[in-house]
Amino acid sequence: MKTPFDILGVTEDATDEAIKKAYLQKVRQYPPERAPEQFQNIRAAFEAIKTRHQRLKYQLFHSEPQSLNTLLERGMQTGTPQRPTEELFTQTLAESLNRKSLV
Amino acid sequence: MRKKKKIPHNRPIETSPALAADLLAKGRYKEAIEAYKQLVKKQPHEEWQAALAKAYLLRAQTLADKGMYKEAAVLWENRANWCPDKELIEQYIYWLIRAGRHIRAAHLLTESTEHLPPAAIGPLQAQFGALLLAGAIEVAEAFPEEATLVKHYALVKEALGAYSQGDDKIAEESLKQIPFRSPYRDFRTILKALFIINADPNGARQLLDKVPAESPYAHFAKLIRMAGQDFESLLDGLSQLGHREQAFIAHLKGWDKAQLKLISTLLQAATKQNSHKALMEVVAAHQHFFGESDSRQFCLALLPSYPAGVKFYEKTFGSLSAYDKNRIAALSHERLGHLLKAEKHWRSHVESLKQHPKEKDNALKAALILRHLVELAEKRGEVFDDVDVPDFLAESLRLDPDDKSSYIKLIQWYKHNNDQHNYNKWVDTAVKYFPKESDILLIAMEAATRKTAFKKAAAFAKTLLKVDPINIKARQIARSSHLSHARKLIKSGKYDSARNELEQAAQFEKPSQRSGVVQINQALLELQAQGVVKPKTRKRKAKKTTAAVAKPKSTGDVAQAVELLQEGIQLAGGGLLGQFRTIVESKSQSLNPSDILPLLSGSKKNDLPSRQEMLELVSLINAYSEEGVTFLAEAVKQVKALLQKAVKLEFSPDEMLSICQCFKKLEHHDLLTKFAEQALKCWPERPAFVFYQIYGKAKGIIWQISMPEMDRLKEVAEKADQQGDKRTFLMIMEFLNPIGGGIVPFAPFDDDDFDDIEAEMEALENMDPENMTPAELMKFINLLSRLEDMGIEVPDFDIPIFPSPRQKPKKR
Repeated sequence: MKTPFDILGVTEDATDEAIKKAYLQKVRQYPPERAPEQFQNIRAAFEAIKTRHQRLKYQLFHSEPQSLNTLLERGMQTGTPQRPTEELFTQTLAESLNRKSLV
Repeated sequence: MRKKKKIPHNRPIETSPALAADLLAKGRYKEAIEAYKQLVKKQPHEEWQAALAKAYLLRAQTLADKGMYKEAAVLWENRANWCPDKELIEQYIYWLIRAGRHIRAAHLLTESTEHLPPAAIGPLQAQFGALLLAGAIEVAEAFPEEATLVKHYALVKEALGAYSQGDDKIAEESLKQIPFRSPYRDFRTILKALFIINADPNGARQLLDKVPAESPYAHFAKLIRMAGQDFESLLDGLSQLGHREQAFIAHLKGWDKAQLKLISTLLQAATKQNSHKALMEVVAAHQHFFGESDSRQFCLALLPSYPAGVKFYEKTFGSLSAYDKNRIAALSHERLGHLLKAEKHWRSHVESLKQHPKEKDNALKAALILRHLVELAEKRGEVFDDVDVPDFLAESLRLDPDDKSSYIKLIQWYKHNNDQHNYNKWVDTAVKYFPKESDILLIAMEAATRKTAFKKAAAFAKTLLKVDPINIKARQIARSSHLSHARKLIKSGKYDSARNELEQAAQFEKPSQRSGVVQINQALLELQAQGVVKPKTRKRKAKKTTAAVAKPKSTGDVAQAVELLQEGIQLAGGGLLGQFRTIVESKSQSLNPSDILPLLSGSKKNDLPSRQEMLELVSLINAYSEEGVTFLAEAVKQVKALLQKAVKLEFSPDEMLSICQCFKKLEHHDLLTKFAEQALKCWPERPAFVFYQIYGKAKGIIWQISMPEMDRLKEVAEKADQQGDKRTFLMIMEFLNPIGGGIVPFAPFDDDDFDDIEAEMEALENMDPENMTPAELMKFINLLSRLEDMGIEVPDFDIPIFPSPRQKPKKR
């Protein structure tokens, strides 16, 4: 599970204004008519941390472990995509052809 | 250890054509093959040979469906020994490919073209194309040089090489030369998707979606689609991939080997039984990768679900504060549902925070925790029984006075627990803090009305209407408050002030929605002022004030007052409704309605009311009841004749129910019985109406119910329960068992159990009926009556005369 801070892309010490700004940016990126699911997540995240009271409540009472994916996503962001070599391409295709689920 | 003797499986079994056919029909192909082989060996009957071939083919297909391609191919070959046709040879070639016998498969394809269905050739060539691209280059030798498969292979290889080198132009030129019908068509689509996967992920996904599910590249396309998914979905799928497939994804995502290895380690840790421990250890060991702060945050968030990890955490990241330790312990207990233990840790946490009040956010944190403790009490369903709740809320408001919902909860708590002093105190505090909040103002209005401080209530209503001009409840309360205050003033003979109050009450009614109540009260005031009517109880008091001295009767003023009364009655709906309003409002001013009603000349007060009028009357009675008017039963008595006539009107079952409910509430048993009986004519045996009928006839007194009626009530209660009519079921049960938990007069569903009757009799015989409680006495009488019904002789007792059933205390 992603934290509301991750969803809005803000730090845990972000101010009300910074959070609102990030929220509006995200809403522009994922408007409800085009991406209803993402919009709902963004809206819920904003509602959870939009004021200092709510942020403190979240920090005090939220007990769900952080998502492993979020942690990895942060750590993995540094790399630049590469094209697989011809050899890797051939080997991967062979591996995928040998899968029984291929049929 | 002694080994079990092996029982040979392939013992020859004597077979018959019928048995073999039966085995084949039942799908027992392996046994069918053996049976037909025996038969054919004895006599090469054509029919048996065909059946044997069929059994082989079906068995081969069954094995192939299980992924046993090698075995399937062998069976197809065995079949060929018995049957020279090439049935399903395309399947056989496919099984050979899947079994790794590529060369044999390729030769078969080139040699058996005439036996293959034309539609099968293309897909098989695509399979060989994929094999070539996957490195099975020896396959090419089975095909002539001019074959499309070989010629296009060179082009695809060129495109692939160029793609890997980043030379998109050459790659695209090579791909252009590959026609649509090429065996490499799907691979061309995949390569095109890879060109744009970073720049246009959606476009790439659309291209990949074009690769059909039966294509040899279907899985490969799925793999590449995975790279375009969000991280969460990608990680879920990653653990199911082979090493090379993972490496392929890593290239597309830009992960190096170390990153890929770490992902793999973490995924493995996440699947372990004690995954929290394993994850914490892996993350702690890779702080250099994730960063110290993110790693610490991740591990800290794991602690409420893995409190045993606190030691390890402190060893790795340093000591936790006393606050954090309490918070983690409390959350951990909450997760396990140990709410009382959680509360203990939260309380300690609050104490720690309060010891350092100047530290940033400590006061607010403590307030939030105290409110959280109230939420825990709510979760336990004990909020109104928990005596700590008001202290938690009050303390939280001292630390952070800006929380409206805490005020509301606190007020509700005191209201529920009938603590009038604290209720009023906190209402006043809340209003001071939130003087313009509509929910607080509504509470303040209610509190003022409870105290009969109608002027104050009206003032709150005015403030609320400034904030929320369309608040219907505020309008109603404002009007009622002015009306109540006016009645107070009339009673003290302050007619001028009362007129003013009534004028103000009128302002809270929209011209289009006037109820007539203001006009009726104005008329009653004027009739008193003119000395036409006098209140029953305050003649002496009225003399004391000069304002209260009745003016000499002026015919014009009296006529105006009567006109106003008639206007009010018409606005109230005329007929039955107007009459009823006049009765209630007259009584509210201590006037005798029989002095008022004769003033209304020409009013049709004895006309049969309409269905709509009857239903509106029920709503009006309920509304008066909510306002706390307690002489409604008496008021209804004065229109009883009209209501009795209304019995024959047509009502729906729901309407009839609300009428019965209303009369039951008013304890108007005659009317209740009549309406219930009428309802039973339309809907016989409907549990609610059966109950109302019996209840009405017995005048709501349980010991006036006969045994057969009691049985009937039990039956209908059961029926209501079966029909899911919980409301009726509970209503009957409540009536049958009025003394909850103690000695009950009847136990409706276990009265068949007479085992203890003798014991009960013995116990009751030793009791003195004179000293029994009413409940014990009721039980006693019923017991005697039941014993008599059963033909058992009972001793004589001196039963004391029952006191008449206690009337419910009257309000207002």
